Amino acid sequence: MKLQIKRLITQIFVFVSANLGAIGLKTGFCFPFFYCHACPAATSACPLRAIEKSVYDHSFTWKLFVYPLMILGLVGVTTGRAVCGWACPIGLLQRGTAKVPRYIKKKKPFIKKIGQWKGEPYLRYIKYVVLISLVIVTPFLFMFMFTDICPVGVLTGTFPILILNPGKFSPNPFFWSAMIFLVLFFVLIFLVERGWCRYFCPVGAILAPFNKISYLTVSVDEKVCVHCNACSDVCPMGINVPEMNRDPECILCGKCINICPKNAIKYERMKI
Amino acid sequence: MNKKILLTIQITTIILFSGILGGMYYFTDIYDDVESGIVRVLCLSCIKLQPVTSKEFTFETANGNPHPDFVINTLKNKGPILIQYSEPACAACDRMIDNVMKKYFKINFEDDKSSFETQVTTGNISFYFFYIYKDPSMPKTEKTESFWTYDKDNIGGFPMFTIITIEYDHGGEIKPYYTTLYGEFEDNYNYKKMYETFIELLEFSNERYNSNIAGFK
Repeated sequence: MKLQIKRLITQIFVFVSANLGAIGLKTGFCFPFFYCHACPAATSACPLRAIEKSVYDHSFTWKLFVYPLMILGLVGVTTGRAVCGWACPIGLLQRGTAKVPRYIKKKKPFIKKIGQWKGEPYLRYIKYVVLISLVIVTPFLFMFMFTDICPVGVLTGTFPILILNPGKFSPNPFFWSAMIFLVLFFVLIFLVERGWCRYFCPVGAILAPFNKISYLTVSVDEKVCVHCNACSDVCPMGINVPEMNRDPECILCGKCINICPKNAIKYERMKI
Repeated sequence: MNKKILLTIQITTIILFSGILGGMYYFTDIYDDVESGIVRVLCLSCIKLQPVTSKEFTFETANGNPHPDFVINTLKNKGPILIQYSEPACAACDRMIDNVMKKYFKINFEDDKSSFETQVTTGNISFYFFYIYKDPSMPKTEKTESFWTYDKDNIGGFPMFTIITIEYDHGGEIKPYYTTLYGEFEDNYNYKKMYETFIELLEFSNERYNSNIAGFK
């Protein structure tokens, strides 16, 4: 079976598994990816909400702080950011929208120029700033949380609840600002392939450093590589693949492996 | 990085993380805390919504369980009841404490992270106030579990306010009679209006209580 078909099946399987709350399966685990427990069908908790709760209003509950980090850490050290590419439902959504930014990039050269802008790699640090500021610092100091404006919460929690409970809820003061962020989220993912994962995802920010030490990785055989750049062109995360060395942005989707004409790119596991 | 060093780091990290995680599952209640404190509770911050609820009183408890003993005893001996249910990391809970409970009812919250109870008198209204802090990391009690008894509209969100009095039911027996409000239940953060709604409901509760207490067993 082709790798990308396997990946699609895995993503759909994880999406269904993450929503078994619809048949009553509610657990005490945290998702190792970005998904909202406010979704009526969600089985587990959002790791970001657990972290926010642990530090809310000058408090510190070590268990709630450490628990999601250990789950993400264990997943991260074994597979790096593979969950972003193979499991995350928001990744699945962005996979579905990926053709649009690719089309726009071809038709509108200025979009391509933005992608080639020197400062673009620095934009990828925004997700670390979001993680530290909105998930840890502002809940601790000002009781303002990332979840107050989280666009994924609107998409997976607010809308299903409004549909399932007509007339039972009305917008709170954060509703409209969160709607604006949702619109911006869609603008972003329709303009930049995997734009959310690249620049803003706080869960991706926790997982990304684990790519440096993960058991599973993607490696390029420099002796075989002819630098045709087909891999970089197809990479949804915009990585310069031939020069990547355990790049924190790599989501191990395997598109570069499929496209490489010389079979110079492969998944690599550390051997004992 | 040298492959041997990398492999050592990987194995050490996997053992360390899985050990900590396993230890947390075995020695702490983290699994239950997350399940009951995050997954099963509706996070109103996450959905950016406010429940639209009715102020109508009812005899039927939300989960079909009988009214808890602390409610029955308070109704017998002290008067109508107002309960505020709060949880950790609940911005709306904190705002309601500051802008309604402290400001208008003059209730003294020495610590908003601990449950307490007190008699409150404001104007000609008197009621018994329970502040119930439902912290998932603390053991479940009759008071914390009463949340599910009074979650009238099955919202499962915080803060939740329950007002309980006594009234004749259709069978002619005097029983606890309650209503529940959720979140910041009036539009535009109008805390004065929320206070006035509380007063209106508590006036009704006092009136029904005084009429029925003689026959309440």
